[in-house]
Amino acid sequence: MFTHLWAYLRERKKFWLLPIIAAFVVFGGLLLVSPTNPYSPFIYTFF
Amino acid sequence: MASYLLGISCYYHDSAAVLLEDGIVVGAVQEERFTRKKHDASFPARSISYLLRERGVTLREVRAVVYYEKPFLTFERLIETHLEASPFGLRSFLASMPTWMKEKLFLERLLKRELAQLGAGPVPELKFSEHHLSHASSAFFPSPFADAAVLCADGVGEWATTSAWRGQGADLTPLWEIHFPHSLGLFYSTLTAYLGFKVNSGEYKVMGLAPYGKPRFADRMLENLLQLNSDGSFALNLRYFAFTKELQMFSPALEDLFGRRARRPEELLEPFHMDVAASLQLVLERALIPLARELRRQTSATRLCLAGGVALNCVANSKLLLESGFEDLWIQPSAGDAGGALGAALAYYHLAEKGERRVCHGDAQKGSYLGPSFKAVEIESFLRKNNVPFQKLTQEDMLSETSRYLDEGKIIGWFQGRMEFGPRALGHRSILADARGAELQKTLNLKIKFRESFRPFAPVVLAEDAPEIFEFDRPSPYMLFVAAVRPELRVPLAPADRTKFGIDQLNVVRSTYPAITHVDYSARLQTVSRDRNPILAQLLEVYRQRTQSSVLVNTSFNVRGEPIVCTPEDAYRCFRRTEIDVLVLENFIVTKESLPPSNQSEDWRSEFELD
Amino acid sequence: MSLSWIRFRNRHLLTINFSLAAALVLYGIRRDFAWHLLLVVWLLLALRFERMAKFQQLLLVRVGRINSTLILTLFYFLFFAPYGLLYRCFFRKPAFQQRASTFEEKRKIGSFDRPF
Repeated sequence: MFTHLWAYLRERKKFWLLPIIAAFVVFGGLLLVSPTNPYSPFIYTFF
Repeated sequence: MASYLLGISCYYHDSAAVLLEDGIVVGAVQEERFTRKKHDASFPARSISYLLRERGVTLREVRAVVYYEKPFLTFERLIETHLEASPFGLRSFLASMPTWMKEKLFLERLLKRELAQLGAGPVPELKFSEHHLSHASSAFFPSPFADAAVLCADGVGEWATTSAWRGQGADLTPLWEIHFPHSLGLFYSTLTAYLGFKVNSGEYKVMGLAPYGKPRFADRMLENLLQLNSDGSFALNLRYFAFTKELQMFSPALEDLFGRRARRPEELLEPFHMDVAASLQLVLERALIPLARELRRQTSATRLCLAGGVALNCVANSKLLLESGFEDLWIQPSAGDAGGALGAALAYYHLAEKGERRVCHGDAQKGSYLGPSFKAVEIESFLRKNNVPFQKLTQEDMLSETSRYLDEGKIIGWFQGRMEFGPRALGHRSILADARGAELQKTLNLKIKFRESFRPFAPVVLAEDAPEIFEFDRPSPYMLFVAAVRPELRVPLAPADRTKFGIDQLNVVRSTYPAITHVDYSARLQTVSRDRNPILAQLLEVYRQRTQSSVLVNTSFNVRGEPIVCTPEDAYRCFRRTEIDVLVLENFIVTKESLPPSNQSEDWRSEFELD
Repeated sequence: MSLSWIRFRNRHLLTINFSLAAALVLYGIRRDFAWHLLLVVWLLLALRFERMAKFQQLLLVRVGRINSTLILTLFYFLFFAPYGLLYRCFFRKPAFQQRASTFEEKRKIGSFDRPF
């Protein structure tokens, strides 16, 4: 997905989106951990 | 030799799948018909399985699967819209982001997984078509025109809400677009929501409500809501629309503008609402016609193709035919997102693979009869298994019996051939009835559709007879145009009736075909000819021999809130739940009187959400 | 990966991890093991009874949802909204601005190979 994202930014020439997408990735990574994933309790305990 | 292409649409509204064999559409079907959930947007697993099974192929023979939209571009639109709206719009942000971050950004992976789970062979390559390209392609490539202009208008795709194209042979070139948030589809939907109807299903009802009212708010709308620019483009005044920020379509300012709060769904309709509907319809036309005229000026094309949800507005289509300056118009019957599946596959075939195009006289949509059909043995086996008393006839006898029942004023559940692709029933999954009966509109509404009584029914008529009954000079095979009943067939109103307004107008007989004549004498016309629909044409011919008329009421075979029936079982269930008198499944006839009394509960109505 | 591990993972791993994490949190809050006996009871119940494990999962889904909302809200106001100011000053889409015409030229279709 990340190769796509980079190619997308280059194609659309919207590099200003990069900071916000990076922030998304960081925060999103937390969300992507589905509660049914067995390792999720460790993620949740940090927040 | 992989000679197939599969087009799919899903995850937004109306998922569907379409199969092309060497560039020709051989099957197309909407997932809702299988899952029995209206507007089902989930992955069209059952549709794809059906298409492959029907053709006797697996995914190995499919070169590519083409998805009808570009999700990253849609995501871009969402982000920018939220950036624009911030720091407001948190709720909308919270509602949409999780789905995006968990699923839609990973669409490629998700689709491949779903395709793999079908167990139908190795997953082919995945391709992506732009949303409006899918619409434009579904409008142009199946049309009977070698050269045409194409106009698409809908809610929104990625960024484009309106787009214009030039189609020549197997080529389709973009010209211009209008971007979100300026959208005719969202404009119409917002007012639909204000009038208390459900968005994406209520627009058609609002169109049916409009003739009851007077467009006294049109100027107010044009001054405040929708600005028409001098070059033919338009813009929405975002002060009145909330869909960019919130989960609501309109802002409180809209309610202030009309001086009345929005109507709640089950509230009674009043003249005010009818006038808003009439104004809305007029304003839509006032926006569409300049766009079409601009397109005519730019391209000098003499023919126009239409697609996108707005193209389902058949009243506007007829106005376009009269006033846009184009000589002829072709509209994709499945003009909404489901048709995007068809367009995506065709776009890939012609534009990426440079597939040749053979322009068909008539069109290449095959009457839009592209779904499942059922053989006599299957139907007979179903009827026997359920102990349903039936008569098995020859086709000739079936036609004769059916026309007799129709003449007697009976209501027929008519199930023939391949199911239609698109929102309208076109005579393969239809409820048919005599259009001459004065009480029929009320009866059909109350006893079959259990729905609001203001909505008119649509006529089906033999193409050769149409010009004598309606003011329309060309075929309308897909019920995408309205036409007025000829003046000589109209019944003058008594002085007392003239003062009636609103729903009371409904029961006034105003033509020799009261069931299909709207209060403004218009009808959503479907013309039938032997080359497109042999079986219905034959029925109408036999009926005409009996009654000297080939006009019937054609309404979709389903109960309110349910998708159109697909299988004989669906048809039988609808037959049992309503007061349809006779069920005709291919050459099998089942009459209500022959059935034992129903022991089913009446609670089916709670099973389907009222739309 | 052996079948028995997969079965174990699906049925028990979440329970064990949950108890471990809860133990850490509890210790972090209380600085003692006073309540850990309750946790042991919970752990045993969840290991023994599937219904308990399911309830635990539902609880985590709930927590997850509240968590997501909190995280996204923080993200929205701390990063997104300020960035919105930047957006509106420098990168704003013409469609959101007042213009005499809303036509946007489009001359070519993108590639079919990518989702953008």
